[in-house]
Amino acid sequence: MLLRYGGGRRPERKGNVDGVVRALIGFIVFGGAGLFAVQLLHADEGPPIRGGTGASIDRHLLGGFRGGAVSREGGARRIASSKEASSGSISSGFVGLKEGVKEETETGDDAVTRGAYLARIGGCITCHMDPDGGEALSGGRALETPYGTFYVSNISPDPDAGIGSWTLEDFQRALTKGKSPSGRLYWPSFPYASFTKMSDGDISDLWAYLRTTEVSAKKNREHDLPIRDRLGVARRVWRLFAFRPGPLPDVPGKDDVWRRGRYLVEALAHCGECHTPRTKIGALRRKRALAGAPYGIDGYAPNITPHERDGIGRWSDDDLETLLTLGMKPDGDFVSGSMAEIVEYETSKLHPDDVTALIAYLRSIEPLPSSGERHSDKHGESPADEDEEEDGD
Amino acid sequence: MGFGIRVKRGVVFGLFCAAGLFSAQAMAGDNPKEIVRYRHTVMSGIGRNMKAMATIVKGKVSFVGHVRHEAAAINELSQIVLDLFPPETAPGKVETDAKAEIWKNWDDFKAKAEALKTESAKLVEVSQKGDLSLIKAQFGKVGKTCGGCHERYREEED
Repeated sequence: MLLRYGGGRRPERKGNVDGVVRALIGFIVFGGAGLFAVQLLHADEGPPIRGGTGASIDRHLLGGFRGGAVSREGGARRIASSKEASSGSISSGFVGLKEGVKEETETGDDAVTRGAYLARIGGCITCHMDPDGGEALSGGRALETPYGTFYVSNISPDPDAGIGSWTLEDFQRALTKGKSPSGRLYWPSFPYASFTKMSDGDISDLWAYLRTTEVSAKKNREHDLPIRDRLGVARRVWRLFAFRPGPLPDVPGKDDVWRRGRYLVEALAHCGECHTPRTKIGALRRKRALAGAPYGIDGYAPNITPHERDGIGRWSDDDLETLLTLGMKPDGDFVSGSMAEIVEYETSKLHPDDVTALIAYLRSIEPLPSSGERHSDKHGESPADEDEEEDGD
Repeated sequence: MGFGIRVKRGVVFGLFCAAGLFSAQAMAGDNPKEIVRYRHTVMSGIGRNMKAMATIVKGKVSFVGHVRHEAAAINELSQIVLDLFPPETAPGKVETDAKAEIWKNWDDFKAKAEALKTESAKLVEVSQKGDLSLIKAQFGKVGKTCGGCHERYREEED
């Protein structure tokens, strides 16, 4: 080791230099190709990537930047399923009070019941349900984004058109690694960057439920994108910058309500996929977590950080609960568009304890001001003033 | 003495004209900024009534019989919504969160205003029965008409 600093030695590094060099080479090659592809792909939308690449090591997430896939087999980081502990218990929808179980959803005594709840609040049903009506999760819905139009897939138990021929391992890989059974990479319109944080128990319960849903033979429709991406370069570049596989890291000193809330927001209900702005490459900008972002073509998901002026800082718990269960805002107005759907199909189905946990987590995150062009400064009002707006001024 | 029939008719006709001009004056001559303020106030009034109903729907208070009145208030206000959007209150002419699309898609905008009328009328009807779960469902439908219009025709506020 070099004697760099005056009196001491440079500290030994853990891990191998070879791996770091390989990662760097991969980064430069794919990053360069990706940035080139990105110029072709994207019109100007949103602020430029900070630091040039957006691939900053994210201290929030375990492990930071990795050159390759993260193995989940170890299970050591996984919170063990406590199905044994739960048998015979009265289901309250809230797990945190049970020892050793921080994140798993236990809202019933059997996997299918629990899975049905997960499919609700995880948004599976909202996205994958048949837009023409019908019970099956046959997909077909069009998601219009600045990156192109994505068509949601069939996740009914049909062996050919759906996922009926899959195994639990296939399903787990899809959710946590964003790969199909044949190794094809999913587009991030399927929010696996959030689902990767789901617990094994929840994934297993969800799988149990999905296998009981109605069969549909509706064939998947190919996405309508500006590029073919046959080699998957764009997807790989996105994964390099935007995908950190694995569960949420443990945070000491936090209570179970907070943990449950974090799991709901960050993993299951994946609020950030809409409410957190993205870099040009489409990676979530962690430093602006939940501070509001455009969604779809011309929608906008508001700031839900506890910021007093721009976020939910002045909302009471009752206000927040009303929003989640009824879709009504403090001034009596209602949410619209995608959020109206989310209220109808997802958040209005939350168990009361989960509502409490979700709110507790939102109140704990960094309060961030909205980015300039979205704050309604035009009339000198802030959204929080709407409550007091009695005389139209 | 007396005025001839022609004079009387003329006076009456003149009075009608004056009345017509006077009322036209009240509308056409209004300051668009004032109309926008008035519009905000009326809309807030609708929102206030929704908020009151939400308190009942959530079971915080038990005045289920009041829903009929608040729903009726909203239904009354829904009758004047279209009047609140004369062309001189479009963006560009005055500072407003109303989008130009309103006047480009007046038929669709009108349909959305009608939806509020229809759904609030249904809520009045449903609330007569006093069944809170039915009321809650119809309340949600009214809320959807709020969001359904605002989504397209009002600037984002956050």
